[in-house]
Amino acid sequence: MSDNGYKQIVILSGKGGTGKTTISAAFASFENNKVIVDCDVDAANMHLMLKPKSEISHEFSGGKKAAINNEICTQCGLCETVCRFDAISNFTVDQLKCEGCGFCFRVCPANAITFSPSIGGNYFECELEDESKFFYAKLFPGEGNSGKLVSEIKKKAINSIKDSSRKFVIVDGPPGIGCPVNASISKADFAVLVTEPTLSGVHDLKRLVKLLITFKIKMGIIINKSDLNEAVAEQIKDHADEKEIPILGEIPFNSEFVKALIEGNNIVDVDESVKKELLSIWEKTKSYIIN
Amino acid sequence: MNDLKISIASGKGGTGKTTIAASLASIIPNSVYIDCDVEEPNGHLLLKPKINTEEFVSKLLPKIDPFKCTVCGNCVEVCEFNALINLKFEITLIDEMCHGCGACAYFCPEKAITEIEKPIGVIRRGITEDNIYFIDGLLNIGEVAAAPLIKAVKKKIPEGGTAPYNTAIGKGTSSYKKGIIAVKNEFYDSQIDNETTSYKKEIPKGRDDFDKNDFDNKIFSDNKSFLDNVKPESSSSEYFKTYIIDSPPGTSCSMVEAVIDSDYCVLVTESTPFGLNDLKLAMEVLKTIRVPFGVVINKYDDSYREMEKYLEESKTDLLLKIPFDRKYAVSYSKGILPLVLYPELRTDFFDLYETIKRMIGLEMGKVQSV
Repeated sequence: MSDNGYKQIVILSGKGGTGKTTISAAFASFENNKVIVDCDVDAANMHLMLKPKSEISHEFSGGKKAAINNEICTQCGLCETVCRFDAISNFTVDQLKCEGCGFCFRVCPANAITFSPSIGGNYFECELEDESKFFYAKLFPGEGNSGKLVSEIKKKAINSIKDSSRKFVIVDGPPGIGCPVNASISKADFAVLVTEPTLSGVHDLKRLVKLLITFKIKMGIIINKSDLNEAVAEQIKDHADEKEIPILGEIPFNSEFVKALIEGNNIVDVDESVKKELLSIWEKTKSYIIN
Repeated sequence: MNDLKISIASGKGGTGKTTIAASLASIIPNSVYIDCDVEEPNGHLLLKPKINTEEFVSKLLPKIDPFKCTVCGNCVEVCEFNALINLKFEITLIDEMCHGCGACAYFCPEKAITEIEKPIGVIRRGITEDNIYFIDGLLNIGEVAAAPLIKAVKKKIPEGGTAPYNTAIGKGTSSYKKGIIAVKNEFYDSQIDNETTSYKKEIPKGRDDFDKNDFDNKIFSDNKSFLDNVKPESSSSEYFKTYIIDSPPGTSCSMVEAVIDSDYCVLVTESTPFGLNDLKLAMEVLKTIRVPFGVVINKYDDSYREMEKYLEESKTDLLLKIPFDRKYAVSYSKGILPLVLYPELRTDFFDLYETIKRMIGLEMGKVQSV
């Protein structure tokens, strides 16, 4: 339970391309009292669908980076010896490899190394047509610190909800189970896992479920493209049973999903049957959070 | 001809990286498939390798000797990642925040900090029925450090032209000893068991069960598998290795770690605005790190014109279009590479490989004769 009465719902999948963003956007369209956060900071897509009417850009300070001043450097090589990230060679620092630990800066006997904050990306505070708030980010190409950026935009989103009557934070999560996923599930009230009946889908789902159990986060599962492989869909249901995770709903494979994407539409605006199913899934999700 | 490193990346998840990477590996003679999507590796589901070695990969964490520590706070001050917290009466570590840089141990005036290894994942190596060498990394659940594991996985790619298993399991080398024999370990039982049950039975129990010659024979002798019919005849001059590196999605540090230093990167996208948006981001990364690239449009849908328009405008090489077909998706769902069931795709992948080689030749300033 969150402090200020709002609920945080994170949409995840493990495997990419199962329909997280489409389903997040659908959920968002069902609620007026919400803030939406796209936590896939290195490949953000939700803004393409939500088409914000205004956005304010902010800089994200990713962390510090070291640089060697060659005029002062005595070429003793101590920095290269202590660096564990292979970022220093020939008395220059590879900015992409620099982890920002500052070891070299502190160890340099000639004080030839500077260590200063670098901009790791941008984040955007947006307003949608229905006046809800929406946050997304763009990490600079190849940057680390994606988890830090996720934490930062989530913090901004939650701050914006604290002084309003909004009830839901809808978080579109990144794929995988690593650093940005860990950041996006922190303090979530409920996780909606979007999976597909493929061997990869199940494999990735199981790893994600384990992660969420570790963090003691309640969850439910949506089987998207459910008729692609009925046998594998059964495997998902068996696994859900075993772990006592509710199946929130099943959505059969539907070419309207791709069509809606291409035309830039929200799936709930173009397909009545999908809308009905997704609405019932959303109601179920809410019932799990309130209990 | 020299060894080739071809990486497969995408930006957006679920566009078909692993299918394309595994398909390429399956039609290339002497190929090595390396799955760098360590958070959610899937290549083993399609290629079904026999895993021969499993090696744990660790990161270093500081361990503070409470009897030596004077709680002076130096370590807390030098830690840029806020992994150490000063509780006044002791210093405590948040494992997940630690990047293992070692600064705290170095700067501790009391020499109270030693560094201990903490497992972050496992590297699995093996070979498939069709003689594709297989390497992947599997990140421990709850662990955040994907990039260091990817780095460790890539260190298994030998530089130069030696067959990886000749160097890795030759007599007296340590990497094999470190492998699967060390399974009696709580970590193994809890984390890996479920993941590998499907082929665990085939793992040799000890060094004696493992015949190195058998491996060599497998590489160079004729095999009777189905791919024999489709793999081109190898001439002796073609005993170079092709490394197919399957990257994680996204454009952050772990993707860079996977694709950096490859000779060529194949970007897999799909015919949607999401696919295009993320393709552009991935292209930016590759330009920054100077890896040449071309694009495969998977699940191609001719109603989405913007993709090809963009590729044309940006003068990006379009390597292959694979039309969307439900039957490919169904085949994938069962863990079967679509090209195994649908021969029309094999020609596509042969062509793709030839195109990539030609592109690399052009990059090197000369067209290579194949």
